[in-house]
Amino acid sequence: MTAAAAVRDPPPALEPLREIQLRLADLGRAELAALLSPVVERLREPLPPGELATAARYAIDFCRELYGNARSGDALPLARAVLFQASMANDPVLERRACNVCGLLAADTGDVVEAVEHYVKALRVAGGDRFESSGIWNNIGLAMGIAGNYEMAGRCYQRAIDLVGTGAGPLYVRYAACINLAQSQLETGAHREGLSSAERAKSEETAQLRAADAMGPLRLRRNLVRLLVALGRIPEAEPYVSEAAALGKAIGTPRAAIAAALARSAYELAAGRTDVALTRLEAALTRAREVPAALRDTLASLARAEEEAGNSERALLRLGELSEHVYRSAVERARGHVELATLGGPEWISLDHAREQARARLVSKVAPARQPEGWAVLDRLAVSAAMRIDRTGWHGKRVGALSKALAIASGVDPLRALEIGLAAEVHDIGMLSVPEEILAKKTPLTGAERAIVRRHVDAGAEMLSDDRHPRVFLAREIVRYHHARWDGCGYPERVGGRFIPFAARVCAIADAYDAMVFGLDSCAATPMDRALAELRREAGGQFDPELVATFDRLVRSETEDLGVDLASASGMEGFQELVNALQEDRGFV
Amino acid sequence: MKGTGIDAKGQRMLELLAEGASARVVARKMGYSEGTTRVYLHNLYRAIGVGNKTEAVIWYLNRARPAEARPAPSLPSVAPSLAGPDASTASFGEMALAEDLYTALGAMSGFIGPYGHVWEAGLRLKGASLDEKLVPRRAQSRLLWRALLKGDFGYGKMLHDDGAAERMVVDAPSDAVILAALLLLGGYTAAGERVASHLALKRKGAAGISAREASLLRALRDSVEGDGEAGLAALHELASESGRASPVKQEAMVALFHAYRARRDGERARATADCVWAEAESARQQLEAMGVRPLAREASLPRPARVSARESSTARERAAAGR
Repeated sequence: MTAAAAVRDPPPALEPLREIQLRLADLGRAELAALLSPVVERLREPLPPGELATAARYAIDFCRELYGNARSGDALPLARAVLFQASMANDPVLERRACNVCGLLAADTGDVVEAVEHYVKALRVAGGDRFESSGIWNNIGLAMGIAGNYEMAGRCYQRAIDLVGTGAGPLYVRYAACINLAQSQLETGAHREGLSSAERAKSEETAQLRAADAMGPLRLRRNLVRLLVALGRIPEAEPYVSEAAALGKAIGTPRAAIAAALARSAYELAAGRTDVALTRLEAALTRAREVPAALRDTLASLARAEEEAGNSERALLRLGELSEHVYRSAVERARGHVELATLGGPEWISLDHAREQARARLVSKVAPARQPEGWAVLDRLAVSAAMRIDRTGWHGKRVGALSKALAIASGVDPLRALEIGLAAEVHDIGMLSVPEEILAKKTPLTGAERAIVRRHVDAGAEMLSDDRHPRVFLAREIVRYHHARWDGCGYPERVGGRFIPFAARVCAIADAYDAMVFGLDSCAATPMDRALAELRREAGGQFDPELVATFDRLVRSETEDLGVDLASASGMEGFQELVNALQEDRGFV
Repeated sequence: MKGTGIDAKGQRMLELLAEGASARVVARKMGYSEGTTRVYLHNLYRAIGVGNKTEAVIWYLNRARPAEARPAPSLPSVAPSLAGPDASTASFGEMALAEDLYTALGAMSGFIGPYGHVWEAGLRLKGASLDEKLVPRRAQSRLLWRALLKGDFGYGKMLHDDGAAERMVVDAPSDAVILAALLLLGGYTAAGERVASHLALKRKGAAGISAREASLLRALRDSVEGDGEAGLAALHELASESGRASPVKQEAMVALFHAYRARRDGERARATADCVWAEAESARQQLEAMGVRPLAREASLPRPARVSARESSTARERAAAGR
């Protein structure tokens, strides 16, 4: 698709895009944004109807090209402008395509909530068209996969498959959904089901489908190899390895070569040729350093391979590099989103940041309080981050509601309590920086992995570094200190007692309670009163004893109001009712 | 400063810091060496849980200043320490008794009750805005709240007779609670009972009333039948709950005022009215601390519309001559 876009001449309205296309590889982020902005401005006003269709098609193809070059964040404003044009012109086909590309870009930059919003809009536009809807569900699944929520992703793919039914004939959407489903099942450890999905995709494959999307068949081979190896059926994997190698050579892009190498090394590792596998992976890594999009997978495979080969030190090294890579890109992406939302540009990382901050705190005492700029983006990112640890993604919202109620109950002014609650909603935003492999792990974490998970605290603080608004400052304190323990044994180290900011102490209790009752962190869901007892046991150790007592009273009185039985209620039923009651607007705050 | 574990010395130091004094100045003013002062200061920071001087000052300004300005009045037993709007002639409570709470509170009534100024500020903090759905919702609540403050029980009866009660029980249970309170306080006991029992039934469904609202209704019902002492005690309990500034608390206060007034217990009614004032005042101060001043938008005297430059200069000369 990119080749076709490259040869075609841009329509007059989009003339500047030609120059970008020619110099894309050498353009920095700021330069690219500067070049794109006139085009975006132009697209903000209605185009003449004759020109609209070609211009929008061209722009959509251009966005996809940027996506292919790992510049999704930069393409997002352009895609949004196209969507605006399409919805103004009332052209359903164009609107659906624009929604799809917006969703694709948003998901790639880590904003899953925005992506899903776009896809839902696309679904509405697609109406009853089963094939289109199936494709969109497939995309929603991909977004969920990027968020690290493979279980949800699997359900989306299943839905995509169900929508087109078992009708005859090779169908591209069903084929793609089967490949994706196999991958998500591989990630969640359901190897047997994954294998049957992959085989279904295999049986559907035709030369035509292979021509339509070259990477699909290669990914299918790679997943087949990994699934067969995981099931211990190593000899059966061999033909797929050679097929993958042939495909990789035929496609010829570095990305394909890396995928083929990964498939081959997985097989060699299982067959006992460890050294060969490791050498192959090292070579793949060297190549992957030039293709940022493939770096994550390669590093993860290499870390896994080194661990299996018994080189735990080298495995740690690779794991460290992987976490560093994910950390950097997560922080960068979050900041990019905030920048995009506030249109402020990066000048807030200025030298007199400290002075700005002090001034802002003074101003906050005299100017009416309102929502900080770009807060909506942070909120959405926090939901994306929460999806990694909570299936529903509402962990942050629940903790926010509990924190607000606890703050009010401990005598904080209502509006201040409201701020604490809103700030506590984003407390796990730093989870975006933890590789999914670690969070999805069923076995206990090793020391190094635990250290990586602990870094989410720093990542969150870095994402929220624009603390010119008191709420962002508050959120930053919460993010940084919500794992600090009252006795000083938590992290960051040597912070304890009243040195922990009040809001962070409140949030720590709400966070722990929600995690216990909902059964996050791979522990079973606990009834609400057992969780309360657990909190009381940790009062003075992990938590502020005064606040624990207040929280205990609060939960008891509120659940009595609602008629919820503490001894049996956990997870979805009673606890959800409590949180809903706390969130309800009764004309108060 | 009670309850924070800061002694008089610490208090004095914080005061000096808040005035902008450095450690050296603090040392000189308090007669210690500079090193001793630094040690004291660091112990002080640890005690209040802050990391540096700026945070200590912010802590002090947030905590200590409003506490000084806002002595918490307690319900009837203690005389209110905050005088009303016209301290030279009458206390707020006396004005409220002579007129009614709404007239006496004036513009301050916007600071209490459901959907008041605090709610509006909260809405802005959440990044939401008043939309078409919220405006009528809010208007209805505010009208009921005004009727409750005014003691305009006939308004409740009128709404009830128009059949608005059934709709309200389903759409806006919190408003129906105020309506039931109006009916019960106004002596329309049968109507009030009916609304209250509808509300109690509704609890099984989606949006119902909270248990605190239910106990408010129960207390009201008890207070109007028999000698009503138990009901009054329950109302007092709800109205004096500490740490929870919520509409239910404020509704209970106003209901208590009406109940005392109906029994011609002027002393207690007056003191209760003073508490209502204090509640509104504390909400106003809290909003002001956050930079929201709903009542003071513009503070310059406007010139009369049709005055020429010459006329105004003549007026100035005349004023100067008169002086």
